[in-house]
Amino acid sequence: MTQGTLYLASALILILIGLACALMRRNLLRMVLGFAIMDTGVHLLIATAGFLPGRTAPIIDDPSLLAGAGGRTAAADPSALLVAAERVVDPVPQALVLTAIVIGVGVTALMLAYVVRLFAREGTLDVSAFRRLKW
Amino acid sequence: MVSPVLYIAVPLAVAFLLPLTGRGTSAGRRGAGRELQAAVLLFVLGSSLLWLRTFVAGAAPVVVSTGGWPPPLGINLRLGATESLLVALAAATALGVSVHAMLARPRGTAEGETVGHDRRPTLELLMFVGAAGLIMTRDVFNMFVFLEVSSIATYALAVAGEEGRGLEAGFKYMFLGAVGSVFILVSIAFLYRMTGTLNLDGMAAALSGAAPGIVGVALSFLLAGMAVELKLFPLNGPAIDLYEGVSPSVMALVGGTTVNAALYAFWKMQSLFAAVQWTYVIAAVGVVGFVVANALAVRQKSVRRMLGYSTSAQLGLAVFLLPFVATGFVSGRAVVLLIVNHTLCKAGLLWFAGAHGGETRRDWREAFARSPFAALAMTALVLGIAGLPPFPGFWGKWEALTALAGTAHAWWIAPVLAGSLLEFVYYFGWLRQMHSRGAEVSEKARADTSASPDAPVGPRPAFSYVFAAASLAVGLWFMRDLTGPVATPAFVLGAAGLLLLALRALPGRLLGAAALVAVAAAGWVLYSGGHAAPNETGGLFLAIVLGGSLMAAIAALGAAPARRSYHGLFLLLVSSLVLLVGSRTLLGFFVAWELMTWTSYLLVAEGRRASRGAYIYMLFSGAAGFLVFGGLLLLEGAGLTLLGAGGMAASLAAGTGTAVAWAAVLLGAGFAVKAASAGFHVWAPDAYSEAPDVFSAFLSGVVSKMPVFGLVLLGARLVEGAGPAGELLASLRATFGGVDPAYVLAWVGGVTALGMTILAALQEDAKRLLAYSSVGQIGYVVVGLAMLTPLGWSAALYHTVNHLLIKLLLFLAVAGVIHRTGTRNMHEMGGLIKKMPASYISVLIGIIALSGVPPLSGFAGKWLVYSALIEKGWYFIAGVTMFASPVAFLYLFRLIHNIFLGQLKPEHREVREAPLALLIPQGALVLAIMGLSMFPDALLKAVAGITGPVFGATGVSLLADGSLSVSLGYLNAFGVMSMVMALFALFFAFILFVGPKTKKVKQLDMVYSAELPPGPSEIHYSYDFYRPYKRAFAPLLRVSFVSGWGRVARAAAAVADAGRRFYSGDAQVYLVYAVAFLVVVALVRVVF
Repeated sequence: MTQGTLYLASALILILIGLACALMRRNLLRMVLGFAIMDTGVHLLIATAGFLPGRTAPIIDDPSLLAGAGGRTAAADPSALLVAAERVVDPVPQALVLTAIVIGVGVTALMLAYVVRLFAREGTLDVSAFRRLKW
Repeated sequence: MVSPVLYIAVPLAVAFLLPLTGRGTSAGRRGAGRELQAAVLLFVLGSSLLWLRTFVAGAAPVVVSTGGWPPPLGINLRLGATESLLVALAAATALGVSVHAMLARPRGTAEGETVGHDRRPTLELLMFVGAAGLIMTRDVFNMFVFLEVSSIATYALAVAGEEGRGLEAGFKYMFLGAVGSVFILVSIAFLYRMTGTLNLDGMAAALSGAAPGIVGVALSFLLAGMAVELKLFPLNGPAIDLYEGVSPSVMALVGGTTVNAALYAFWKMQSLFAAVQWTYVIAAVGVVGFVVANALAVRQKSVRRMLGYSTSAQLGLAVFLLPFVATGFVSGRAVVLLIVNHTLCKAGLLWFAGAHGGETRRDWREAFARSPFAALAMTALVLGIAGLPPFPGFWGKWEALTALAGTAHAWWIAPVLAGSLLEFVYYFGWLRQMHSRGAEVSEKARADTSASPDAPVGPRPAFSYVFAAASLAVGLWFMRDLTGPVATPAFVLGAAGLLLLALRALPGRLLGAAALVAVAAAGWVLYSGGHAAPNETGGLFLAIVLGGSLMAAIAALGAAPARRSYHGLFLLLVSSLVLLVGSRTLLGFFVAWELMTWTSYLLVAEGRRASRGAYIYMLFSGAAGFLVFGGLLLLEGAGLTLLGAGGMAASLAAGTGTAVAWAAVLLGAGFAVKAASAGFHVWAPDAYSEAPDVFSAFLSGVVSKMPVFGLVLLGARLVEGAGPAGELLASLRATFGGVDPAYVLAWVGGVTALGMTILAALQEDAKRLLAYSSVGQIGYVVVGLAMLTPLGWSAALYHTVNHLLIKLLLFLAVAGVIHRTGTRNMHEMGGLIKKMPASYISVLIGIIALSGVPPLSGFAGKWLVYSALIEKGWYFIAGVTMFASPVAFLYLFRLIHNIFLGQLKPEHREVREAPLALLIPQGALVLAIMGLSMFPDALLKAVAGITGPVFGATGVSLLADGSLSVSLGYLNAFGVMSMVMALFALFFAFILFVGPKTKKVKQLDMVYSAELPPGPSEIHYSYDFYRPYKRAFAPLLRVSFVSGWGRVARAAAAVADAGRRFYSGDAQVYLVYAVAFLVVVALVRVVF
């Protein structure tokens, strides 16, 4: 099993665990937790999408390679920069994952806020209590 | 021009500044948050509309690369015509919410006070930002981010209201929405892995070469995630709960921003799906969603949930069309029109729902009874969302479906039309409650309703009016395509109608006079200004329309309907009829047809107890409309026309006419339903009898002739060039296994003629009697047309004009009697001959003419029909129609006997003659009938202008002395008339001068022996007049179509009710549906 497959498999397993939890636990908090686990699995999946075996984190900190301000203008030695880029994994998914994590945290927090208010109103966390709107 | 980036940046900045404006304000003093919010939205709305103008004028779309990086490194935004329109729609909806919140302030609502300060303006702006970004971005991950921004704002806004149930709905909605986002993220991860880019356009290009299996799984995730965001069936459960739980204003905002943006995002993603041929999967998901969501809404009593189902359905329709847009079958404009229509109408209706506050449909009884403009706007919005012209949805549907009709995808049209009819059922069911007024609503029902019609619970929905007007304006703009010789006068007439609706505060008589002037002027212009109808058929029917309108307009001055919108609506109806008979394209024909449908529906609903009758009328007319629509679409797809020579006949002759044959059958069926043929007649008695009395005359005299017009056009196209042997009809027969559709239609007409005549004889209500009579007489016309022989057509067209004159006359005479006596029941009348002699003469002439005895005009009509049937060799049908004739005497006799003869009721001793305005048209009609009786050849000459070109023969020879000659004999109507007149004069003189003197007996000579008389069944001989006949026909009468249709309706309702149990209300059950949906879609893609 290659490293990439392992990451992929663990991501999918996390998603399934989260889904099972969200589907089968009748407790609102656990359902939210299930969602959080599922979300984590997805984050791992995104990170895996940019994974390349044997490469390092996409951080280029050698000052000589970053002569231009903020990296916007051409580097002093473009070919050296390219060589450096060959050594790192795809940086785009890493940027995506950061965004996705932030959004995930926001959604989870809002969900928990909902749970707090639902509990304050009904005094229970059982999802069966919240079926008044239907059909 | 402002940069598109500002549409995101400015509202975002202001959104986060807004909380600052609210700080430190004491109670009673408010911050300027709402004003600031409105200003930002106004800026966006104005500038995006300016952009739209430049794009429509042909400017290229603007692409902005953020941060100066071109794609695929940077994120690029694109602003084209569609994008700017959608941004403008979102801004307009948000502006509406903002303005309504400002309007609500003086009422002292506790807006936001419980939570310190009002967070809603901020959240609403965030929702808008998310939508604007989602609409413009071309980057897949960026789409996800904006979708989340918009969704999170929605989730937060759901609890910003005060209602407790919003909490439950919001949680369920959020829970499923979050899982939907997870699905989308998963698919983005896969897609990026496979294509190496996040840019939409680059991704689509790279996908076509990728491994199909993984692409299938990735796109299944994307489809399932988007189906959640788009609230498609079966993933719409939480969204519908949200509609019930959250204030309608929030849902209007969600619809205008998040939902539209998600739909457009899905549109952009079509390039991904198209790369791997997903057309059928997405189209199936969309169309199933459209039909099922509409079906489930049919019995939904909660108005808000009903609107939720409707949103789900409308989105399903758009999703259904998207893959066809991506593959170039359908133009994007069609979908844009549907989106515009749905956004404007749904937001407008939701705001009304919020203002009125009625929870269930029943709570909407008498809604807006005191605010006619609200009722008008509400009606317009329902018409718009139901996809009727001139609203934009109609043009979108027409454009999309005609584009599909000519392709191999034509069969998708059937479910779309079926779903559209279901939409009619619940939207007009809702409107029905609004139309039920006054006498129809019992005191108990009034006490039951939670909402009072006079005290709106929400802010005045100012933007509902704006949106109704906007959608009307957009739709009317498309009407300009309907050029034709009669279009301009018809449009002017329509504009006059709208003006009268706007000026409804004026006195009724003034409005009626204005309507009369408008109709007369239109007639004068059409005949003098050279605006002739495009063909002979149109010419004859134009005369019918204008003559009938003039009579009805005069009569309306006498027995003015109670509600003052009558006159404006009447002008709209006349305008649509003029358009119909003058139409030159199939589109023009259908626009006018549907305009006629809804204007006549609203006119029927003007009656005092008409809400039920009008509703049933609308359902059957709607069904007829969709059958006609289907037929026209098939014709349009085959590049044929109904309105000019050629086309259908040639196609049938070439043996390639299967589609044409089906088109003919659909059209024929649609016209038959609209003509209330037996089996589909159940709408007619209620509609005719409950409509305003004067309008019943017009409905029976003129509107019922329009399906005849349609049948004439259809028949002409089928027959022309067929030759005497009729090979074309043979090929039509061959399509249906030897069954001749025309022969079936003839039997339908014959059964209608007999059955309706029997039913007419058994009525107590004079208008119901005339209603059945009218339907039965149209049955004769249908028989005549179905013969497809020149003589049959001559008979049918002659009878059409004859029936117009007679039914106008009889309905107007009866209208006068009802106006004076205040009852429609014939057993409550009697002896009115002394009080209303002129009306008596009208009815006498009318029934003689209708019964078909010499010397009046009906005789020539019946004689022609029988001759034609015998000539054709259809002896059985001839027998049926001949038997119907003496049966007709039974009801005609009642009309004169029960109303005018016998003893005068004591309560009618003070009754006067009918108003002059009713008598003038009656006089004119009596003269016209006399003229037609003496000179039938004059009319037949005009009819020959229609039959001649179609058949190459007229079937009737007109001899020099004015006699009619057919293959079986000849008729000198003038001679017969002169002879009978002479005999009558002699007989009359004999009675007057020679006969014994009559002795007058007063009614009160007879007494009841000091007993109180019991009910009418005991003492009144004219009640249940034909009880023996009723017993004789009992087995036949047991076949009640009314209860049959009722059973169909109940069964359908039970299915719809059971189907809704699908939405159990449990958040986890909804999640199971989402997972199951994903698995099924993935399996379908992997297996097939």
